[in-house]
Amino acid sequence: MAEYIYTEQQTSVIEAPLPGSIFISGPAGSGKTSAAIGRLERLLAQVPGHQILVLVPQRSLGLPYEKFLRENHAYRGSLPSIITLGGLARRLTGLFWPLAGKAAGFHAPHLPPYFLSLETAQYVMSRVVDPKLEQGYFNSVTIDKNRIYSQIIDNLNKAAVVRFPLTGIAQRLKSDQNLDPSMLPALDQTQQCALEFRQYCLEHNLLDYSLQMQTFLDHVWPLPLCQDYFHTYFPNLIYDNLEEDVPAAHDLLRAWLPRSQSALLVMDESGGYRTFLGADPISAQSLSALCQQQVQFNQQEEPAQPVQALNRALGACIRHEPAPPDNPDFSPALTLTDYRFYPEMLSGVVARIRELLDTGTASAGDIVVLAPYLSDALKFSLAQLLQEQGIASRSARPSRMYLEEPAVKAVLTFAKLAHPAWEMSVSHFELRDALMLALPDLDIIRADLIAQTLYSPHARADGLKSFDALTNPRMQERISFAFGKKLEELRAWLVNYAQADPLPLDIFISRLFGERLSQKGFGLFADFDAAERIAQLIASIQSFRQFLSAAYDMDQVSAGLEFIRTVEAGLLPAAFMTRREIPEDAVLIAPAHSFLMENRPVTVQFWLDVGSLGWWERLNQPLTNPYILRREWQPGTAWTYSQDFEANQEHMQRVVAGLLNRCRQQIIVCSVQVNERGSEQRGPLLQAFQTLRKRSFSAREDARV
Amino acid sequence: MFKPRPGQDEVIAYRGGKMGIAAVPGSGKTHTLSYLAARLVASEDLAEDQEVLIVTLVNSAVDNFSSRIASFLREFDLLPGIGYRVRTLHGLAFDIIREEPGMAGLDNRFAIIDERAASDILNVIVDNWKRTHPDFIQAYTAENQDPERLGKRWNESLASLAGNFIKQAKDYELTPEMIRAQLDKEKKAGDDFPLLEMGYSFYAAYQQALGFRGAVDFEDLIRLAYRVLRNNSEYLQKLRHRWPTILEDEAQDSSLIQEKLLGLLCGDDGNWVRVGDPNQAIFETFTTAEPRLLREYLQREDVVPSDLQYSGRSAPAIIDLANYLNRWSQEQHPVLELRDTLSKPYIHPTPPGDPQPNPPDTPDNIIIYNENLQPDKEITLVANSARKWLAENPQGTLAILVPRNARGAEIVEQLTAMKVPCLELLRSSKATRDAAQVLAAVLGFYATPSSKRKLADAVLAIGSLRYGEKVIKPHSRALRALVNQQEAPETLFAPSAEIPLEEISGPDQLTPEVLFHQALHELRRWQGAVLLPIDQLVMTISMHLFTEPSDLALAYKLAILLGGNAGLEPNAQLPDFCQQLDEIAQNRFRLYGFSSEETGFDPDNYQGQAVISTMHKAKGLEWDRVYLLSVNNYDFPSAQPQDNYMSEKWFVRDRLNLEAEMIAQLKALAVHDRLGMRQPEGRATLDARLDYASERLRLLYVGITRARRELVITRNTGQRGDCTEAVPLAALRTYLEQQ
Repeated sequence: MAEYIYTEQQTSVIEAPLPGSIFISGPAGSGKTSAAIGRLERLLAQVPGHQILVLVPQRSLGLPYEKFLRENHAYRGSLPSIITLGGLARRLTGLFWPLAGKAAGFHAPHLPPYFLSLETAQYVMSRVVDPKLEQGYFNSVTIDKNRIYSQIIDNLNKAAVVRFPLTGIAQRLKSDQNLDPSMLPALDQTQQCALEFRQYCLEHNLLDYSLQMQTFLDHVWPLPLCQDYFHTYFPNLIYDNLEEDVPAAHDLLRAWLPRSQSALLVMDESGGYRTFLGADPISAQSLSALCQQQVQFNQQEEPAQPVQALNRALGACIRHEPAPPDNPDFSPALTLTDYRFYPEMLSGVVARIRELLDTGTASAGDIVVLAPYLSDALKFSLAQLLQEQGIASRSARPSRMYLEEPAVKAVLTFAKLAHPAWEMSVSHFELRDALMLALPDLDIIRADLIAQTLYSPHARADGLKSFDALTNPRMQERISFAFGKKLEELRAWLVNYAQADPLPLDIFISRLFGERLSQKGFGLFADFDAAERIAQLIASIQSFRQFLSAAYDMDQVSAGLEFIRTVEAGLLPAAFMTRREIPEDAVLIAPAHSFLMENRPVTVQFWLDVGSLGWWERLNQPLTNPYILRREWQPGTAWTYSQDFEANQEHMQRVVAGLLNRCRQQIIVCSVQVNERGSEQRGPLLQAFQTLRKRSFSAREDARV
Repeated sequence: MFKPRPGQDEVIAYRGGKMGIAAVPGSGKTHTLSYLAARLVASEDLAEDQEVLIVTLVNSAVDNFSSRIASFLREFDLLPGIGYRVRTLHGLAFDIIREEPGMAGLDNRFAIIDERAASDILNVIVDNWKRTHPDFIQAYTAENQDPERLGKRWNESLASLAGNFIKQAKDYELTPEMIRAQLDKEKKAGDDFPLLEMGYSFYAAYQQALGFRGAVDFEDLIRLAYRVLRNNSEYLQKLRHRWPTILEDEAQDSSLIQEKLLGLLCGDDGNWVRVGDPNQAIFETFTTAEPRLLREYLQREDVVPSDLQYSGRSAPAIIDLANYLNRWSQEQHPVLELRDTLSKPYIHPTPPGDPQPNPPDTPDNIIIYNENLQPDKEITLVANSARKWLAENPQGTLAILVPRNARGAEIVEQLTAMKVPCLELLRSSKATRDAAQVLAAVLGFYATPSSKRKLADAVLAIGSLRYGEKVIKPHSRALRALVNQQEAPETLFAPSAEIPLEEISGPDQLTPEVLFHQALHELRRWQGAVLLPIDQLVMTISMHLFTEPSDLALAYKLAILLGGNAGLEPNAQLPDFCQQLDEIAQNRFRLYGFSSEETGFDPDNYQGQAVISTMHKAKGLEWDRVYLLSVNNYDFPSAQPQDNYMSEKWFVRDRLNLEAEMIAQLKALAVHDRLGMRQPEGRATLDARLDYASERLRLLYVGITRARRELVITRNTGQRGDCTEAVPLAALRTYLEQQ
């Protein structure tokens, strides 16, 4: 990174004596990670790479380090480990299994352990929960069963990383006074399922994240051998974004620091966006005292004064504090526009993006469109408008059911077509949808005609018939020979595949996607989002397949079939990160939270739907509660209406500050008077903006007087 | 920026306390009140969690207020949409209950039945009751009539009676049980009240039917909201904090329970501004409105009275005529009891320099046609005159106002025959839009896109939504033919196909081609969304299709519903969802029923056309030239011996006004006035004549004050040829002749 010019402060961190430990804190954008990378570069010059551990709370937060290593062509040595605590726990638990398995209570410690992904954990959880649902469990809550699985898993994970006893889940959750009393039995049922799941895992050598963490923390790490191993292999440590990590990670740090040769801990003061996943900025902060040197980064790496002035002014409004005195003018950083309806707003946003691009104010990759939630309807409409303007877009969003992803549905439809032996039906509509996705520009009428004339759901074995076999020339003409030709290319691939022995599903999809769908002339060519979904799907099937064959001795092809069944039952995918770089020529459309987790600054941010309560309230999860399951929570106290309110308030403030810290130039705020649900919008963020406006109005009135 | 005139400045300087404002027609009260609301919102005194509460009479006024406040806030560089809440009383009551349904003893998902469903229930109840009470019908049918042959008339009459009885009982906070208990007491004392017994039966059966459906009706909403607030002081305090100021528009039409509810919400030390024109109270007969409430409020000691007496709407001569009607009724009305019907303030033309100067007088700009015309002659006369005027004034606006809907239909027929462009503003002439049906048509096409019939259905549905069913209907055959001619409709859906997008300035330029192209653009745009989950598909479509909040709300509900069904039946496909939508559309449950058909109507958008409306519906509107029809002693009686009354049915014994008799007894029962319950039969009928005559006098006043430049008043002999000139009209005519 020759071109990067470090500030004095960054240089002092980079050049700080080795060995030694440093704690850097500061707001986002103050150059902390750059300094840490500078220090990594210096370390690499002095020690072998494999002796450096870069710990991050979530894999995406390790991207800047990976990028540095990839681009640092001068470096030729071994590579540092960039890893999360979970990854480390898994690695060490696997290594020390023979010493720890029995003590941890596994029934077959002589056999290797099997680590579950979030998806395979759901699969196992369904085996525990489903029979109970039939007995009437969880009747008092109305949520999808996949959410039941994931919320129980969430509780298990919290117990492991916050370190409270697994038996205490229900008791803790019951201290939420906002719950309707009729729901309490569901919490006991949650508790029971969690315990049974744990038992099941112990019996079958399965380690879900919670058991993996607990085994590691209680039985692996305490082994002197393990500690010696760790400190020998990783004497140098860099830990970035520690505020987004769980208390268990901070506990470990406390044990590591005294023996580390060098340690650099980096904390974003305004972070803590993963608190609902167990992140604990308070215990993170406490690590500061254990370091030899504390450095406070204040200066903004890139001057963004109006934005920072806006950050202060808006923060004061959210906190109901008076306007900060002598705050510089923030008006250049803020545009507020209100629209009556959604489509108006979307057209307005796209027109503005066009203008930003045309005037060279920002490149597409430097523009993000953020909303509290990103519905398909919003994403579809916005992406379509952008596309009409020739502007590429991509989206990032938290996982949702595979079944809701058109690209996933399409490849699974082709998989079913290619495997008639599975005897899984493909409906007219599934095929039509898959064709519309696979063949670019295929309109709905032609897709429908193809599905009608070339496929019969009742004659599954025949599969998709050849376009050339169509005897009705008029129909061929209507479908058109151009589409007929494309269709034949696709069909030929499927026919060709069917003639050989079936492949495991992940390999089938990988080939279908690589050899056809993602090729030029097919529908998923250069489709960033679809590529990501498919990559995720492939990884997921792979882990499923390995799990099913290891745990249930299932053959590889049947495992694919079982996976499709699980997907159709509503499997929720695990969070996923591709190794792909963020494309620079596409506008990002994302929920605010997903953008924060990309942890990068942009030039312009659009905030849609500021009137929505989504900026403020947390997701309704009746079977879990991130606040009550926190470490500072005092068992026995009650979680009240006002605490819940304050927590939401704090959450919003954190998100808003985080976004503004990641903006260089301008926030364009859009509100609609009537949202897509037909209701008025008046959420707290909009109210804060109104207060901001009122203050300016009063100031102008005063000036006039 | 808003430049207030005298009177208005006093109102907008309001910051707290209780204020009552009497506003003359055209005095800009909505504008002033909106400005006041915006000022209060902009004030830093209003905390973030507080709102200015504006209560209006009808939904169209909600939209009107909301958009005016929004535009003022934009002028102040504030965000519109927050810091205030505009509601009808029903909407407000709904908000109050929705927040705490448990306090009202309701389930979280309580349903509200709309008026149509309520009237369906009532019809069944009335029919059953009538069959089991032949004696009652016999006893109340006029001597020379055969009850057997009056089946339909009695049914209609009783259903209307039942509806009003129930409304009134709810307004007085009487439950069926309370009425029963009182009646039982009377029974023990040996007294029977057949009318009240009947009312009770209707009411009890109706409430039972609602309970069975887990539903409440609109009147219940208000009653329950009041009860919730009265019984839960913490909740009341919370709402008082939230709404520190209440601005109430059209307060002359406030009912007792409305006054009580708002009074409670406001509290003794609270801030409440009530604006209204007691001279324009014209809803008494149809609702539980009580104009005296505003008059009494204006006289309260703790209320600062104010008035808006300047109006730039009408030419001086028209203002003078309206003022004369006011003065005449106070001083010279032949019936003493009616002399307090109209009252001050008089209307004053705007002072010099006002941004809205009054239109100038032109010669003969008021015509009172002094001939008792046959009804059809009156229609022809007015139609010819309107045609001539519109030809001479293509930029002008014109309204023909009638006392009753039926008369409006006749004039529309005549104008249509004469090819005079006209528009009905009658009951709810606007096409009933049915979000579910339109969505079903669009999804139906996506389910079977190769069907030309489905394509045509979808195009027509989109067109009807945009232009109204009436406009589309004449094109439907040609459109279907056009769609059928398409050899290869798929080519139109290819991204490369160029489809012209014609801009048209009005529905008259609509052709089947334009309709087809416009809809194609939409259908093509959404086709990619069929890959999305069903709820998202519905939301994508509805987001672009609907602009009415109520339609969007309905579509959203449907999306959630279908999404839920998809979760339950993972194998469900598009045709299944269409079928579900169809079922919903046919069995149409109107969700909250709040936004009824009324929407903001701006006469200035209809230059060169004749707008036909009832005088009631014209309230709040103004036109350059206005015709008032049928100003005779039947439509505008004056409690004279020769007058006839609509509510005194010819088939009822002694021409009793049964509704008036029954309501009078109910009112007496509500206040335990046992003597009042026993007043002689017929007395309430006579009292009702006075009420009716006075409301009609105010209606005439409203009609006159709709005119900006020119006013024409005509009358007719009625169907049986026995109607005469209305007494107040004679007074106006004489006044004009003397001038």
